[in-house]
Amino acid sequence: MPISTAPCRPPASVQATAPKEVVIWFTEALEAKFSTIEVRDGKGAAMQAGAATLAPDNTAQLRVPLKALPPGTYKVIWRVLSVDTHRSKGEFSFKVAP
Amino acid sequence: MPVIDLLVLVRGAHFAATLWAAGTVCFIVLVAPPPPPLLRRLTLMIWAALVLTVLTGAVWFVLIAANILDVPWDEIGRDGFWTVVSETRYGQIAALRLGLAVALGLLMMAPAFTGRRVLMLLAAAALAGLIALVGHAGATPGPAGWLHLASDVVHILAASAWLGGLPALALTLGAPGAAATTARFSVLGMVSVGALLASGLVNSWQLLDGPGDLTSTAYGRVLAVKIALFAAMVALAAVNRTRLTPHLPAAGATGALRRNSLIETALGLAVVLLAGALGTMIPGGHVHTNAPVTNSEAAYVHIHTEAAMADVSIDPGRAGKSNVTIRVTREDSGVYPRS
Repeated sequence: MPISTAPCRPPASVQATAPKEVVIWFTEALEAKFSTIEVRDGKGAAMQAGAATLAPDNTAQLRVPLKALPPGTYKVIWRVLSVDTHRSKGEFSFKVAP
Repeated sequence: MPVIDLLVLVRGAHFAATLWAAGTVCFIVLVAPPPPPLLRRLTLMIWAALVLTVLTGAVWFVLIAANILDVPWDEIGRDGFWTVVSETRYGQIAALRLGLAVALGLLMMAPAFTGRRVLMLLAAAALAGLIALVGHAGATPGPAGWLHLASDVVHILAASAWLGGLPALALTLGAPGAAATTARFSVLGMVSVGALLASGLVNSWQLLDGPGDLTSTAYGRVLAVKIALFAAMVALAAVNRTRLTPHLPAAGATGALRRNSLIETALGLAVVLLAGALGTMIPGGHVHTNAPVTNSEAAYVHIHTEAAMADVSIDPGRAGKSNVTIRVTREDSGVYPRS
């Protein structure tokens, strides 16, 4: 389960400037090979710039770099496998202000 | 969901078989080097437990691999098998534990040499203790994770020494020297109960949000039943130690002790099956909500900066007298400022 995300989940998810990455902190250490983050714009186009990776100092933190995001609403879809073999998934959205 | 039920059952059976194998090795090495006819029967017991451990471990692996790869179990294939073994901690630990089970089997067949029994004990302890790495304890991140992991290893080893050794004890009762053997097992049992209690408390502290979880969450309720069964086992063990062991080797005491050991074994099996279920459930401490607002009348705002985050709630969120709560945390929900 995520503890926290950057950008934030709603209700405080409007970003004044476009974020350069999405970071999600989980309660458990993750398996990198089976953990992904997708970021989609309003038309469903993938906006992540590469694969999600685990932070070297925190295997419970998954991050993905982003392409330059124009103003709009974006959906973040995460699917993870924790090292104790639990799979979970979820999504949230954030807005980049004009 | 039938697959989850099967997974719970297989996990429980695998834990029970592993504890039985490790506990019987521990019994032979630490409690009583028994006379040869009994040793042969105990060795057979280890073989039976080891075969069960490998078989249930194989089924557990197939169920987990199918779940990870998101395919039916009969479509895992060689590539899927290797992907799970090479790319996940679960697969690596499963392979390592299979190697340890084989090593234990080879050590049992090998002609006697100095240190053979110590090696058997180490292999059996590792076979059991490594399970902690693929459970909730192994997944806890940060420094708390190391404490949780160490505590869970102690929990599994203590359960192996006590619960896992009970069938061996029941087999030994009635043989020559049973009184001394039972007295030694009793000491091992008391040390194990102390270790189980201490490590159980640490594990609960790591996984629960508070004692209220024991009644308010499904995970907590299963844990509460597990603790109650454990208490019943301890009560039975206390009767054995204070009332029955002093009267050995009288026939009445031997019979009662054997019966109690088998009841304890049955209770222990139930405890281990519950442990198998708990590993597949989500503990209260892992459930997090984004907004810590419980009252629908409250106003809430979340402030997120690079340095820290703040959850501000005003309850009720309207003119008049209100309570304001501000919770400041780091981005990873740790304490702010960093201590």
